[in-house]
Amino acid sequence: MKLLAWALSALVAVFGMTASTPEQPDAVVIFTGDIRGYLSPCGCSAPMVGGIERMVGVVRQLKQQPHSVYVDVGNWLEGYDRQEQLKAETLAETWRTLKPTYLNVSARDRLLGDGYLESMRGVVGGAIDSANEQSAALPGHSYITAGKVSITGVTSPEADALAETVPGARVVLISGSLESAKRAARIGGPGLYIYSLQGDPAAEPIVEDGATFVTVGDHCRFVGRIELRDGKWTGFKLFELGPEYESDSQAVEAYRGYLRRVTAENLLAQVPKAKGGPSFVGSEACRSCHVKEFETWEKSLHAEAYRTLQITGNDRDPECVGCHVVGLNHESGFTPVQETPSMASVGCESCHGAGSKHLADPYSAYKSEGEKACLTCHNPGHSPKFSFAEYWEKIKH
Amino acid sequence: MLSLLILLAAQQSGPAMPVGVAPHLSATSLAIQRSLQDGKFELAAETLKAWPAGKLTYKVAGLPPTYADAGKAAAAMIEEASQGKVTFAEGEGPRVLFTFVPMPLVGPAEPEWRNGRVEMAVPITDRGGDAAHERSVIWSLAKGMAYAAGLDHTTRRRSVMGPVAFTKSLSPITFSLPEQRQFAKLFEVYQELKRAVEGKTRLVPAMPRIEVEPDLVDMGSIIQGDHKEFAVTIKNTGNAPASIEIETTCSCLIATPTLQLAPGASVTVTPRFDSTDYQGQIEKHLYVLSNSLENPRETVVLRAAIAPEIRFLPPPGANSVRSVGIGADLIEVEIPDAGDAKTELTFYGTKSPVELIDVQLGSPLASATVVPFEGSIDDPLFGTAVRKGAKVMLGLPANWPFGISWLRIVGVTDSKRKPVVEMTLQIRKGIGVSPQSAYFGDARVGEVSERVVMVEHRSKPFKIIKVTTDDGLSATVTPVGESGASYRLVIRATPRSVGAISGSVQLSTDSAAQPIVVVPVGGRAK
Repeated sequence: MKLLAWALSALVAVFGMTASTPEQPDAVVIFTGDIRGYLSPCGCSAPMVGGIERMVGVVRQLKQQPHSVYVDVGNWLEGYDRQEQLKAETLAETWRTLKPTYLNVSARDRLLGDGYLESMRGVVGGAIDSANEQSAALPGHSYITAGKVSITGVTSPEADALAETVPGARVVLISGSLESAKRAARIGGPGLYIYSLQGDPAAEPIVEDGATFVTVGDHCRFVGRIELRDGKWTGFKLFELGPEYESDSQAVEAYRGYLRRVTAENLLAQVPKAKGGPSFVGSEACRSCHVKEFETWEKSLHAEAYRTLQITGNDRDPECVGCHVVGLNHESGFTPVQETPSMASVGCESCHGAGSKHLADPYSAYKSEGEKACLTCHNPGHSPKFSFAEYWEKIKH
Repeated sequence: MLSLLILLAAQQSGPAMPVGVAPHLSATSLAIQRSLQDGKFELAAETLKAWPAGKLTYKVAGLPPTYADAGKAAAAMIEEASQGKVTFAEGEGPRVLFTFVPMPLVGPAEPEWRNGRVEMAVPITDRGGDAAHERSVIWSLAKGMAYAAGLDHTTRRRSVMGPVAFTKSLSPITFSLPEQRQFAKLFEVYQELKRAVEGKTRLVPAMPRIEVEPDLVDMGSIIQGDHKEFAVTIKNTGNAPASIEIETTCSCLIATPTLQLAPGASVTVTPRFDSTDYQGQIEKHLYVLSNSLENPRETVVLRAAIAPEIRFLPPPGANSVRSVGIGADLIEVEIPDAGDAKTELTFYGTKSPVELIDVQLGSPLASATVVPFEGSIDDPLFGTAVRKGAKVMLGLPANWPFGISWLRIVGVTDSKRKPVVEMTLQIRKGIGVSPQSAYFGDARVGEVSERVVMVEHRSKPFKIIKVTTDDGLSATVTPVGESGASYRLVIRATPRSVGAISGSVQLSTDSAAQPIVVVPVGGRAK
C-alpha cells in the first residue's frame, strides 16, 4: 500500500515536472515496430535489451494514460518457416492483452497468408489492418479514428488512403523507410508518420513541412511514445527495453508457451544439415594434445554457452542454439545434447572449423580465421560491444 | 586602429575547455570569458559563482526509504573522482533536483539543465531493496551530480556518464580515468578563470567552432558484405585549437576516434561502414564531439540500402511468387496435388560471377541438380542482363506433404564473403490449413475460447462434407467468397480442467487426394 502511495505521488511528481502544461494531452500514441522475430533479447553483451516481455510491460503501463492508443508499424517477422509462424501466433497472443488500436500489416507480414491474418485478427480482436495491402482477411479501412487521431496503415506511399481527409490529427504507420514516409507526407500533409527502420532510432523526431517523423528502430529494443497537444506532436520519448523494466506476466506466459511449442514440434531437429567436407569431432578430441588451450577454454564463458540457454529455456530453440554449440548446420555437428555432449557450447571447432582432417593428420594446416571467425556470432546486432582486441584477451590461448 | 590591434595582442587567450563538457558549463564559461573580454569584471565575478566547484547541494523528491543512502554514496563518488574539488550534500537551493518515478519513465532519462539547475528523473522499479537496482540508482545519482559538475553524458558504455545499465551486476561503479581527468581539467579551467577575474585580466574567449559536412550521408544501394568508406569534413572556423572525439552508435561504423584541429584547419575523415549484418534500409549515427563552446555535439546520419550479393530467383511464370524488398529470400510455388513435381530456380552473383558449388536441401525427400547457366536473367531488383550463374532443378516426389511446407535451400558458393547462402521455398500443395493448428494460449477453464483457421486450396474448388471434433471442442465451417476453394473454420474450446489442451478437428472433403484434413488443436488452460 505504501509503495502504491509512493508510486502515485511519484507519478504526480514526474507529470508535473515534465509536462509544460498541466492539462492532459489530446492524444498519446504509443508505438512499436520492426520486431522482426526478436521475441526475446539475443546476444552476449550485458545488459541485454529488448523482448516482448518488457515491451508489453512498458506498453501496458503507458496505456494507463488517458487518450492513449497503441499501434505497431509492422514487419513482425524476419524469416519464413514454421518457427516464424509460431512467433506470429505468440505476438497475437500478447497483443490481445494490450487491446491495440492498429497493427499495420507490412508486405513481409502479408506473406503469412490470408489464413494467418484472419486467425491473428480473431486472436487480437480486430486491429490488424492495412489501407493498401490487399488481403481478403483484412477489412482495408482507409483510416481508423480513435479519439482525436485518425490512423492509417500503409506499406508504401502509393496508397489512396493518404489522400483522404480525416477527422482529427493524421497518424500514418508506414512499414517503409524514412524516404517512403516523406513521400507519404507529401500526399497526406501534416501529421505523425511512424516509419520502419533497421538500425538505431533517432532520439529526436524529424519535423518537415508540418509532418513529424518518428521510429523505434528494429528488433523490439524500444517502445516509442509521443503526444498530441494543441495540434502539435510533442513529448517524444523512446524507452530502451533494458532489464530495469519488469517483464509482463502475461507476455512471459505467452513466450513460455512459444518455447514449449518450439520444443514440442522439435524444430531443432529440422535444421538443415550440410553433408560432406571435414567433420566435427568435438572439443574433447583436442584435449590430449592441446592441454593448456583446453584448460583456458574450459574456464571461459564459451564453455558455458550451452548452459546459459538451458537456464533461459532456449536450449531447444534453433535460432539460439546455432551460436551456442558446435556445427549445428552440419550432419556431424550438434544434435541433441544427450547424443553429442562434446558439441555443446562454443568449442574449439566453433572458431577453427571442423577438425576431422586435423585429427587424422595433425600436421595439416588448421587455424582460425581470427576476427572473422568471431563475427559469425559476435555480430553488431547480438554483440554490440564486441572488440576483437578486448575479447581475445578473455580467451587468449 | 593600431592601438586596438596592440590592445588585442596584449589580451590573453581564454582557457580551452576539454571535450565532453555539459552544455550548461560551456555556456557559463563563454559568458565569463565574454564579460572579461568586455571588461565587465563584476559581471564575470558574479557569473563565476555559478561554476560548479566546491560545495554544491542536491535534493531528492519521492525517494523510497530503501534507497535513503544512495545520495550519500553518489556524493562520495564525486568527491573521490574530483579529488575533493567538488562535493555534494543534500540541502536547499539545490544544484541538482532528482525526482524518483516508477517505471516506465515518462520524461527525461538523462540529466537536463533547466531553471538554473540540473533536473533528472530517476526510474524506480517495484523491486524495492534490490541491491543491483540500488547500484543503478546510485549510478543515476552520480551521473546527475557529475553532469551538474560539468561532465556531459556520452553514448560510451562502461563509464558513469554512459547509459545507465540496469543489470544484475553488483560490481562497484567508479568514474573511469578519463572522467577523473575531466574533473581535474575543469577545475584547472575554473582556476584560470578565477585568476583572470581576480586580476581583472581581459581575455579573448577561446572559441573553437566546428563545422561538419555533410550531416547526412546517403550511400544509396550497396552490396551486402561490402565495407564502404564515406568522407566527412570537419572544419575549425573558430579562433582556438579544437579537440575532437568521434563516437558511433554501432560497431559496424569505424572512425578515427580523436583529432586536433588548429584554427582555420580542416580535415576529412573517412569512417568505414561494414554492411555484413544488414539487409534493406538502414540508418546509423556518428557523433562529432568537440570542445566548442557553441556546438559541442554534431550528428552525421548515415543511410544505405543494402542489397544481397547473391540472388535466387523463382522459376519463370511461377504460379505464385512473392518477393519483398531487396532482402527477399522467399520463393513461393504451388505444386500439383498428385504426382512428382519439378521446379527451377536461378542463381547468380549480383556484383560478379559466383559459382554454386553445391546445394543442400532441408528435406531428404527433395532432390536438386545444379546446371551452370549463362544467358539473360531478368531480376526485378537488378534488371535484365546477360549473366553467368546456375539453374537449380528441384524435384519434389508425389508423397510431398499436403498444405503449406517449407524447403530450406542452402547453397555452397565460391564467394569469400558469402560462402553459404540460404533461401526458403514455401510450397503449397492441395488443401492447406492456415494456421497449421489452432492454438489456445490462455484459455480459461469453463469458458468458451474461439480460434479461426482458414482451409483453402489455391486453385481448385472443393467441398467440406463433414466436421468432426474431439471431446471438449466444437467447430463450424463457412465458405469464404464465391470460389468454393476457401473456408473459414471456427474452432471453440471449453476446457474442463487446468493444463494442456490437446485434440483435433477432422474435416471430410470431396477431394480425392485429401479425403480427410486434420487440424490439430493445442494450448493451455488456466
